[in-house]
Amino acid sequence: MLKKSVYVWESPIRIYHWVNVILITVLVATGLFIGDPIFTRPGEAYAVFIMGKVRLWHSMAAWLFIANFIYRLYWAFVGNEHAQFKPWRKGFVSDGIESVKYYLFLTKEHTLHLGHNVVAQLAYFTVMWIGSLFMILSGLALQGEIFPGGLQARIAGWMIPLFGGGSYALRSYHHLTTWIFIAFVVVHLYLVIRQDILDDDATVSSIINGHKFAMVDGEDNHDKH
Amino acid sequence: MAVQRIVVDPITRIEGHLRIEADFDNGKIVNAFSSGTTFRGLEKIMEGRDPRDAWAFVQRICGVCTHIHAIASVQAVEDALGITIPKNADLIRKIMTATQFVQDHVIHFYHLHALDWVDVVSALKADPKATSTLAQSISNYPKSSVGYFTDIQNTLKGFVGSGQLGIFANGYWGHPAYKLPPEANLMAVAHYLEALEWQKDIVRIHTIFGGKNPHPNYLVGGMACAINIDNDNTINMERLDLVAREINKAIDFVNQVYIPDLFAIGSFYKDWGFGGGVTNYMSYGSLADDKTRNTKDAVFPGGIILNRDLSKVMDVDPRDPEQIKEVIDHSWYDYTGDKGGRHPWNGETTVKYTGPKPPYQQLDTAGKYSWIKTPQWMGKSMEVGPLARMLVGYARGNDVIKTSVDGALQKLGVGKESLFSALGRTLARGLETKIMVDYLKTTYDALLANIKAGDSKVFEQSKWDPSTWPKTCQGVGFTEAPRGALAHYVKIDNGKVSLYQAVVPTTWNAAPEDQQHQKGPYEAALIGTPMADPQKPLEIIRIIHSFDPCIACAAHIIDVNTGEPLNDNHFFY
Amino acid sequence: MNETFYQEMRRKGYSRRDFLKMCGLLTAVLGLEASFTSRIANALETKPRLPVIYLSLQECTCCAESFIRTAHPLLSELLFNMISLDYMETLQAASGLQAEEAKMKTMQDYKGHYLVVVEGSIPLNDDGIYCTIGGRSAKDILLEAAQNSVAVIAYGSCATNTCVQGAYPNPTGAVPVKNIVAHVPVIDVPGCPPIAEVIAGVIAHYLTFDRLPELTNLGRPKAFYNHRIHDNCNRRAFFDAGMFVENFDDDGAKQGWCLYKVGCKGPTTYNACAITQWNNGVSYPIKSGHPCIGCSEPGFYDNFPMYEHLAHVPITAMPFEPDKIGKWITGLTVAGVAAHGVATGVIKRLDKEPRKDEEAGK
Ligand code: HEM
Ligand code: HEM
Ligand code: SF4
Repeated sequence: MLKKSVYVWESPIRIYHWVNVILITVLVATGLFIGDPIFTRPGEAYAVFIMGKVRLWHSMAAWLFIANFIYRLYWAFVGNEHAQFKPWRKGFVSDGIESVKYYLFLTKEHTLHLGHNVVAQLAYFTVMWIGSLFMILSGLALQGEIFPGGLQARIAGWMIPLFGGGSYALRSYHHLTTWIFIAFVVVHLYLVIRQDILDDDATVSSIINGHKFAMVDGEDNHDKH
Repeated sequence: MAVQRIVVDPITRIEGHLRIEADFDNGKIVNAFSSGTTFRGLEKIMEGRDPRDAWAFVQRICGVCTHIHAIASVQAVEDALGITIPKNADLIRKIMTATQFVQDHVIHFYHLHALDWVDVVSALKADPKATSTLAQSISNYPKSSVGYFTDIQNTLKGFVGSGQLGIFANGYWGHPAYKLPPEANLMAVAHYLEALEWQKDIVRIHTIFGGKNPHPNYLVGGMACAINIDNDNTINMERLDLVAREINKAIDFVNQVYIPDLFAIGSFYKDWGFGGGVTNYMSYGSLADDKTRNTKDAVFPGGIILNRDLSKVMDVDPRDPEQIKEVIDHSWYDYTGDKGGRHPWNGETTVKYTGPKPPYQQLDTAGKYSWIKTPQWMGKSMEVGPLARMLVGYARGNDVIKTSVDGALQKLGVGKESLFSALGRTLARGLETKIMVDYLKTTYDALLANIKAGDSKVFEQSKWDPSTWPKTCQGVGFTEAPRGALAHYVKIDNGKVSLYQAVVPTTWNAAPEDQQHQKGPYEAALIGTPMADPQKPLEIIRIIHSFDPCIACAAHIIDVNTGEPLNDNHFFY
Repeated sequence: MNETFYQEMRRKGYSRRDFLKMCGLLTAVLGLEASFTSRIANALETKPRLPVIYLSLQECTCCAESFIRTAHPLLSELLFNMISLDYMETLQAASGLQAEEAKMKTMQDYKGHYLVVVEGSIPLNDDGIYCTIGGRSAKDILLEAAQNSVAVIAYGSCATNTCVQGAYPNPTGAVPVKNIVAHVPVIDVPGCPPIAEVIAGVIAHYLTFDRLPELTNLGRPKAFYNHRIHDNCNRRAFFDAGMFVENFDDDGAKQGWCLYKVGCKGPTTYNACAITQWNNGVSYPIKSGHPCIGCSEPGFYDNFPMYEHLAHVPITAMPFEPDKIGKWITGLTVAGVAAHGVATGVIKRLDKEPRKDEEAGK
């Protein structure tokens, strides 16, 4: 079986990906610390500023995260077809069923996609798009609490009454969703490494250099959509 | 003349929603029914909660007795877990309890009860000069000049003249049961306003130690207010000075205003001896020594008096299933199985509403007619509250109480039998307030002495963590609330509340009758009272007010139990 | 509110003579001397005090207790000079029928001009039997009073979020005022109870500026609920510094450090405690060493346990801990992934034979 090298991940996606990896790591670490500040230090209050710094880092990472998110959103329109997500395309559902079967070991072969298969696309979509959007809006609402009437409060202040428990509930959901990100990363790493080993298609390195291997004589049906 | 049913609902100037239905015949009340018309069902809510949080829930039983339910609750949990609180915490809680008594009783006297005895409109006719003379003759309170009373009277005139009578609208002004001369009325109205202003200050003692009032904060195992006399963000000298200042103001107010007014007004009504009611009195006792914890010689001794016989006192034990029982013969509840009385430990609060669908005109008093249960001691209705405390204390031979009661009776020129009346209750409340302000001072001094001796501990840490608790345990926190005997019962299973019960003072007093038509204290007190005009229930509210009802407390809010094991699915914590 | 009695009478076609006659009558009805007639006339020609109907529904009266503690304005100033408190069970002289009559009168005479203050929630289960006054259900009473009012102030947590009786499982079906009253503005003034000066302040605001206060996105007056306790807390410096009380009465507590780790709900609680403070500026819970319990926030009783850091998600009725749930999710995920990995390995080994030629092909 012959393989050829295909350029799947354009550099903006790769940059996005690795920036995101760093930011999410920082956001999760600082966020969990804010939720449960395990390191504390005695001393004069003016001399230490642990919590303040961590909150500052969280906020700085948050703004970059928002920028990166918008950047990726933009690329979903102008990038190559792997950068897009189109649940309305023909064959999406049947591909999805095939993929689920594949992961349940019901079939051996999976639909061949150089980008993501449908299940991966859905997972990325719910966690990375909806999840990030939720983190951004809830995070902005939390930031907005400090300055009612300010920019963030105007953009996302409506989030607070949306949840029955008010500010408290929103904050708790922001916290809970953090764990969904963590779980996502676990699954994500497993799947990409597994893919690389099973199909030997250079998935892991693809997110670094952009290239994957594809079977030359293999059906490459993604081109048709 | 046929028996006429009088309905008074709402009874105002009380806490909560009370309805009185009385049968009126031949100028007298011949039968009476007391109904609590509100229910909140906190019992279900308590199940499965963290016992350390319980106080915050049950504190909200009542915002008037805002302190005492929380205290009973933390005591119950501490009793269950075997926690002994540090001395400072004990003293602080006692200071807060005494503060509550003083504030609550003064509010009751002036703002809830006084208008039953004081005719506001008649005060307009008073001569300020004569009022000033009267005021100066009974007290050395500085605000008693002619100018002061003229000012008050002018304000009042302007108010009445505006045609908008506000809270005084539709009062029973001019009713023949009002007996005070205009000058005494004016003085009382002036002090109504003074008391209103003063009461907001005394509660600052709660604010210092508990952060706010109403509903200050408490902590199982002690108090949360750290003491560090060398820090600016803790209990330090400035905080303590504020407490001292409020205590001193309270002593002045009670001695110079409340007590003189009480005797002045009381002397005009001492012949109005109605409202006696049931003849049994009960006090659990409270403010005992922190070491002995013996309630018999506490500041308020515990005990039982039967048939108004002050020569004998019996002991009372809230833990004893034989002694304390709640019956529901006329309450909107049901017991599974045995319908007889139950001790709180195996009580039950299953709603069974059989009353009319609102809106309604009249309750079916032959059947169930109240949200309040009927607690009994050895099958007997008991009156609880200031009068019961003073009587039990008197019978126990407590020096302070004895001197105080004897002095008062002598001053009014009446015998002990006068105590068994609406007026007796009102008098006992005043005497108790005086005892409490003095107690405030001595307890404050004890706190300072203890801090001075180097003790700054306010919280016992060792049993805080649920992993240190026994798997199952149970406890009782009993004490005296301003309105009478209070007990909270808690059972803890695997670190969660599995049963919570409170038997509160107003439940004792406002109870409906039992199966044998043994009347509750409110009901019994009304029977036999003459009324000048059945359309104007001044006499009824006067007697009811003398008990200082607190219906939110009484309408079985907390009585739990399901007894069934905790359903863990309810809770994830 | 802008029209006096006198103006209203004139508008309705009565003469000044009629007006004075009525004043005379009123004087007689009130049992006053004739000299009061001119006073009454004078009062009715000037702006009347704002009539207020204060309803107590399913509540514990802590709100009323707080209300009477107001230090500025003093309650007596409020009662004598600013409002006419025509109905308030806790304070009014009249009982029963006479009390209800006073309320009816205000609702008729000041149609569209009176303010309703509500303390307590409204239990809806079982036709409202869990709270009746004068034989009528709380809902009826509220709807009737609200109908022709200028606005309804939902005073206290019971009225704004049902407080303790609304905690899981809410046995009486308690709902807040805003679920019942639709056609007049409802102003939420939450807290258990709210600070005395806050409720007095809301009323005074309306009287002084002739308009209802501006509201936050949670429907509360901005003047008192714009910021969280946390934003103005006197322990805030210690929060930012990461200096926390770990246990009650520990060294941190004796230094007045931040109470975040013993469960402080200040970061999610909108209230004026840290600024206005309680009982005329004496203290507030945090200052006195106890964490904020979040009493002005919806569902705060279901955000307990009180002494744990805020991390409990009130999904539906009962709270749970995101960190616990999260560790669970992650743990399950790791286990799932491991299992899937093992399964993949096993299947691959079983498949090795047929795969071999493929490999050879490569
Ligand atoms: C993947 C992205 C993110 C993660 C994993 C994350 C995680 C967290 C966590 C765990 C907390 C602690 C919550 C608690 O108190 O229990 C937190 C707090 C917070 N987050 Fe995020 N967050 C993310 C994105 C954002 C974004 C995009 C923003 C703002 C635009 C934001 C703003 C905040 C703010 C303001 C707080 C409250 C901090 C404080 O003042 O105490 N977060 N975050
Ligand atoms: C916080 C951690 C991470 C997050 C949130 C994350 C998120 C994502 C997302 C959203 C994509 C899809 C790219 C797109 O469509 O825009 C992706 C792809 C990918 N990521 Fe990550 N990633 C993380 C960490 C990593 C790490 C550490 C690796 C290296 C082993 C990695 C390897 C890959 C690869 C190989 C792909 C391409 C997958 C494919 O071809 O289906 N990721 N990642
Ligand atoms: S004590 Fe509470 S409100 Fe104050 S800074 Fe700490 S967390 Fe915030």
